[in-house]
Amino acid sequence: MANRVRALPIPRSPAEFSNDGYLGLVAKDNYHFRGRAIYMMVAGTVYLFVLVAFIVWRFVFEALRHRQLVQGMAAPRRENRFLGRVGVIAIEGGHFDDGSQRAAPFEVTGHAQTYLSRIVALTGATQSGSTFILDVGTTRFYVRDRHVKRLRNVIDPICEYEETCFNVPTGSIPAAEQIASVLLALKNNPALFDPWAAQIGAVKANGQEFGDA
Amino acid sequence: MNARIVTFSRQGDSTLLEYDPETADMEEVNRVIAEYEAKTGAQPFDMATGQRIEKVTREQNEVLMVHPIAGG
Repeated sequence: MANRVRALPIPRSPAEFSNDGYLGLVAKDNYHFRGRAIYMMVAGTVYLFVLVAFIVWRFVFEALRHRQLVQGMAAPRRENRFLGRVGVIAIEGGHFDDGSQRAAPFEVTGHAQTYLSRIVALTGATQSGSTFILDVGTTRFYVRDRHVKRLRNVIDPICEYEETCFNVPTGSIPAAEQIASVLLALKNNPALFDPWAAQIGAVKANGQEFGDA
Repeated sequence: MNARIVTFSRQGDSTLLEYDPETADMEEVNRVIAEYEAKTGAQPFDMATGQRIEKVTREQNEVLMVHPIAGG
């Protein structure tokens, strides 16, 4: 009798090698585990890249900021001097026109007028048109742009006026501030009129000549 | 509030010094003012009273350095 050969079906997946469903479950779990591991690896790498980029950016940004700060301290005014001991900033020399705080013309006029108003009030002067009238004792001064007139004794009817010009030679400051300077100086030292009239050069507020002007 | 030492300038005004009057070394402040006066001839005036001052003290909050004036 011929042997009958029975062909067995070829299994299509590892799970079908056996009736044991456990094998199939293990294969599926392995597949999911590998996918998740790849996902985790990619996510971890991306996270690492972002972290490194952030750290690098942080360092570069700090370095740039520090450099800007140092340049800012060194550059803005050539006369700046920092006196850490007293916490003050000093600007040496008489030239401030090259500073970074250059004001617009209307701002300059505004500042100058504000100072003039304050000094007119401080000295008790009065304004009549473009002339400022200042009384110091019995002497009366009439101050206007680059001119000052003196009446030595305001109560003497025969007293005559004397007149001279003035200017601030150490820098071109607004006319209002020149007038303000003259009002302050005359209020404190009315005798300043004499050296001005004598044209001996620049005179300090205390009456001393100033040679360098 | 900080105290200021100012002067008239082409820009209207310029701050020469700014300091905390409570903690600043006033000797140092006056030394800088003296140095500035030696260079420019400007002398300090108290902007609260309008008086010329010899030395700046902690009481002054605003001091104006007035430059020399020439006649002509």
